[in-house]
Amino acid sequence: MIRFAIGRNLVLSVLLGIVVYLTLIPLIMILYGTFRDGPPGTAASFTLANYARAYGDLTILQLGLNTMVFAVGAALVSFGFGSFLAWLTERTDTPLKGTIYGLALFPFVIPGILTTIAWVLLLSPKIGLINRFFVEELGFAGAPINLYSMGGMIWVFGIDNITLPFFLMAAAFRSMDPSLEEAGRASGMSALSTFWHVNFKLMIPTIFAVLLLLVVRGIETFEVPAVIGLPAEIKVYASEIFLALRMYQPPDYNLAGAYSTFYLVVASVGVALYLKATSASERYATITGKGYRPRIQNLGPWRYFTLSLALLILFIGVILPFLVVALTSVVPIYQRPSWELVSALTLDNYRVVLGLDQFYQSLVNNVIVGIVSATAAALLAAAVSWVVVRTKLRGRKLLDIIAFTPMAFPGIVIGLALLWMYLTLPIPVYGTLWILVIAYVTKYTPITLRSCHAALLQLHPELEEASVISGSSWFRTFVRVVLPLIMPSLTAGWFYVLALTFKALSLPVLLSHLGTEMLPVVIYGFYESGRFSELSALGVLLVAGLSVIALATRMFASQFSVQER
Amino acid sequence: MGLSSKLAKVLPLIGVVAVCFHSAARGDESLIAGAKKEGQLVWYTTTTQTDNKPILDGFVKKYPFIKAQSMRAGAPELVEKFLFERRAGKYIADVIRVLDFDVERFKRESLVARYQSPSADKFNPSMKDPQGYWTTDDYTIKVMGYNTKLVSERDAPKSWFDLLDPKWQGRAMFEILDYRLYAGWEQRLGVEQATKLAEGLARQKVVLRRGASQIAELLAAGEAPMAQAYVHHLEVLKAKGAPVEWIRTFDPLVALRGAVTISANAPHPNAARLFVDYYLSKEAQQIVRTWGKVPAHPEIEPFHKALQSKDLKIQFLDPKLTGQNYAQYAAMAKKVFYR
Amino acid sequence: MITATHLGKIFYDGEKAVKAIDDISFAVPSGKLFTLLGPSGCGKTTTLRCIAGLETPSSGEIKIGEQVVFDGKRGAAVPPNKRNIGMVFQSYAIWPHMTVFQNVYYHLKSKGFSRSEAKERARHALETVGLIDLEDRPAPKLSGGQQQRVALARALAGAPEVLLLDEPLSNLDAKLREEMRSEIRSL
Repeated sequence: MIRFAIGRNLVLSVLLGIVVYLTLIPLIMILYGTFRDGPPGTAASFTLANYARAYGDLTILQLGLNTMVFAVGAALVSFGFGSFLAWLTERTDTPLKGTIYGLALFPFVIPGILTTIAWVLLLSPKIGLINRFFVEELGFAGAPINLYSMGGMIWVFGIDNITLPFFLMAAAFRSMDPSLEEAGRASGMSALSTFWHVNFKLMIPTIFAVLLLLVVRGIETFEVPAVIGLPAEIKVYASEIFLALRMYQPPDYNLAGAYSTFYLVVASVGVALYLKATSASERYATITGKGYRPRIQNLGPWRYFTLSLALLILFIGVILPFLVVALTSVVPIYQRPSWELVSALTLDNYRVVLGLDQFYQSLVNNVIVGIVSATAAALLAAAVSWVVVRTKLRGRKLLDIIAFTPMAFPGIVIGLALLWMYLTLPIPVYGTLWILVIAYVTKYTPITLRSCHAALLQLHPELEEASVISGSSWFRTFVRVVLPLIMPSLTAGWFYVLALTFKALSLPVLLSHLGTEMLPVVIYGFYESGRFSELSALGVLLVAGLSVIALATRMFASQFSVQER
Repeated sequence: MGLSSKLAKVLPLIGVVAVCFHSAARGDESLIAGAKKEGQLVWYTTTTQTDNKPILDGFVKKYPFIKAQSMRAGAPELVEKFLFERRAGKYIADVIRVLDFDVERFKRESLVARYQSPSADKFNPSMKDPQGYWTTDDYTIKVMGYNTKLVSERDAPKSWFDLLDPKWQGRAMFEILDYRLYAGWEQRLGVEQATKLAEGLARQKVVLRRGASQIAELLAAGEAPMAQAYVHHLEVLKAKGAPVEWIRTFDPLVALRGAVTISANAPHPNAARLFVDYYLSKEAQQIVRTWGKVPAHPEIEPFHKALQSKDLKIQFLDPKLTGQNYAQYAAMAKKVFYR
Repeated sequence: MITATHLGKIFYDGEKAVKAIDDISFAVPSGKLFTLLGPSGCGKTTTLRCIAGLETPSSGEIKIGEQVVFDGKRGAAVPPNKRNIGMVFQSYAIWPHMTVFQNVYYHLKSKGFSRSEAKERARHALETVGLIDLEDRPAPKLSGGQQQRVALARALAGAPEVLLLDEPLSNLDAKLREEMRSEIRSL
């Protein structure tokens, strides 16, 4: 243990205090609400009825099963593809890495509604372009793929979420000490065996963290189950929350909160398991001082094979739905692609979007709020992770679990808690951009927390100790030694949070006010009024814009990776 | 009778009219004077940004001393935000535009003020709250649409009960938890018939989808031959060349009225009234017309010709009843549109 | 001059208490080389880390020169960055994101040297270990022996009162070991 002067403890206490304030108060409010029978601000009394209704019915078991199958299935799909692409770009000599990297970003930056509908237009048994191709061109008897199934749900959500695992696993791969692999090969292990015993086992913290994040997102999402599961009558847990909010007037937030406690339990158990599994942290220190030259694996002619595989995956999973969206953006209404369509091409949709004042206002708001939130989330995560990994402070694991809980609640539940909180607390953030920053930092710090934690584990503590012995203060050590070495993971988390502020809907819809609209609010406005073509144009513009930011971020982060070029 | 006696009859009339105009002008004047001092207007609305910009522009052109802003959100979020704000004692909104039964909820908590705008004098009584708390700006109708490439006009069903024909099983798209549709059935056909219809449709395994606009787009793309959609979505698609049409003969055609109301304790009450007057005036209703729904002003014809027909069996939902019986409607809707 | 009196360190493995160091005392006169020998796990590294300030002893007293850096009775300790110590870690702990020169130079400004003085000292230290030609090379691109010498240079550059070396010869081949032994002796 390293004992230090007051400066460090003060900084850490302030940051931890902020985390506790941001997370604990909404959490307590939500839990308090689950025991009340009326919305906040009205005369309500204590009741256990919400829990009775939420969990007293046996159908909940079927719902829970569907939810877990969906969430875990989609997580495995995302993880599989994302990691494969990450390994290709970070550890092999596969060509066209920049292209792969850029394409892996797409599914993330396009609004979820658009990709989901794009998949309907691709894989619907009746009108799906892919199915039509099989039936009309290849002579199949019936449409081979039915999107409206659990498999369809898993595919759509899975492929839409490859970006997070791609980023985080890439960061982890970049920080792997190849001498550990070399030791494996030298002692006679086959390539596969080395991969399993050395690479894989050492990356367990990151793998676990990524899977946890993916599963939690899967349990929480409602868009995909609504569009693809409902027609097949597959219901998931999030459907019940939706019901609670629509079936009753006024919407039953307390019931929704009671349902959310299921998520809370899953997320907390997940984090607790993760922390237990990674408590022997010394095992995972892959960045020591002994040298650290992430080696590129020469694949020889096989690299063209891997490239083709990557491009195939990206084409089917990412490019196709994007093409559908792009198509919809340049025609007045969606139609099957044909030669006649060329004469109907128009840029009107783009003109409408670009002529809208709110588009620019919301874009500026989004960029500002996004950058501030992402940076705050990264800083808080760095502080909490450092305390959890490097100190022996009592209760630090509990701190980590609590800091993770906002991730578990659906955006609308947290949004309402925050709405009420800042309407009643004498802190003048309601109606300003600050309440949005607070909301995003609260909800998304868990992501940067997990990526930071896993990254810190990879850092051998002696690197920091050497700095301290040499006379540097803790603060200087953190800035000059720790931060640069965890930068790849930190940047990945930072960018992910930034992109989420462009994507998340329930929070800004509730917390935006006059002049503080965020982009998703504008997007959803288009969606609700049936302006699907304009929506598609907006989606294309978003992809273009965010891709530029992402490439800039990558160039920034790569300055910090010590790779043999 | 002589000229003088005719004159004697007309003069008082002129006098009365002159007095009326004078007092109206005086009322208008005091509103404007008050609004000048307030200098601001905050409008909460469910209409889209592209739609409400010309309204705000027109209003500011007429009263350049008022800084007018709008906040747009979907109905559920807008209602909750307004309610939360008021319960916390924050007065921000002046004018709110939602649906009529949302305003009923506000009425129950005494959150809105009575205002019968002179602009709505000529409006049909069905476009106004009998108690004076809200006025409709426009309304849309829930209709049964079909894809003309998949269903001919001859084969299309002519009434709700035709949908119970086995040939339509699994071939019609509906919005999940569409309690308003059910409410319309019950308020028009009575509980017995409505229940029969609902239970019959439940057996027909209608395809459930989320998002009304999505349904219209998918209908146009041919995902299903029939769909329950909003008429203005379908008309817009039709105008762009989509192969969709809707059935005129269904009884009832459930209509949803938009409603504009003024917040009680509005921070800028004079500006609020001026705005409502403007919003319901012929000038603004011309703009509302372009949104594709049916404007409330009797002298403004709807944009889409098909909506001009007087034969449509339109059923407006009774907002009070809808609020009172919400739980029952939702329970029935769950049976058919959620299962 | 290092003086350790009745030093003790107990680690807790769950509920079990493990005595890593049990009441040891020793004195190292200045200018002398003092070696701790023993089987692995007997507490050598722990003792070193206590002197460095990276571990807090459970009991006892440590003095460097005349300064008491740890007083078990009062529970007072001087933080490690304020003890004038140089240390070479078992893992070398060379910072992979810096060059050889930066690794040695990095901390000298915190020690109060001016920029030019710091640069001088860094260069001198690198010359002493024979790595001055490689000063701009990124740290990971060094062999094991070179990295160890960088660690040594880093530890020496600040002219510390005490130099701690944790298993300094364990990873070197016989020839290098001889070279290192004579270098250490000559310090």
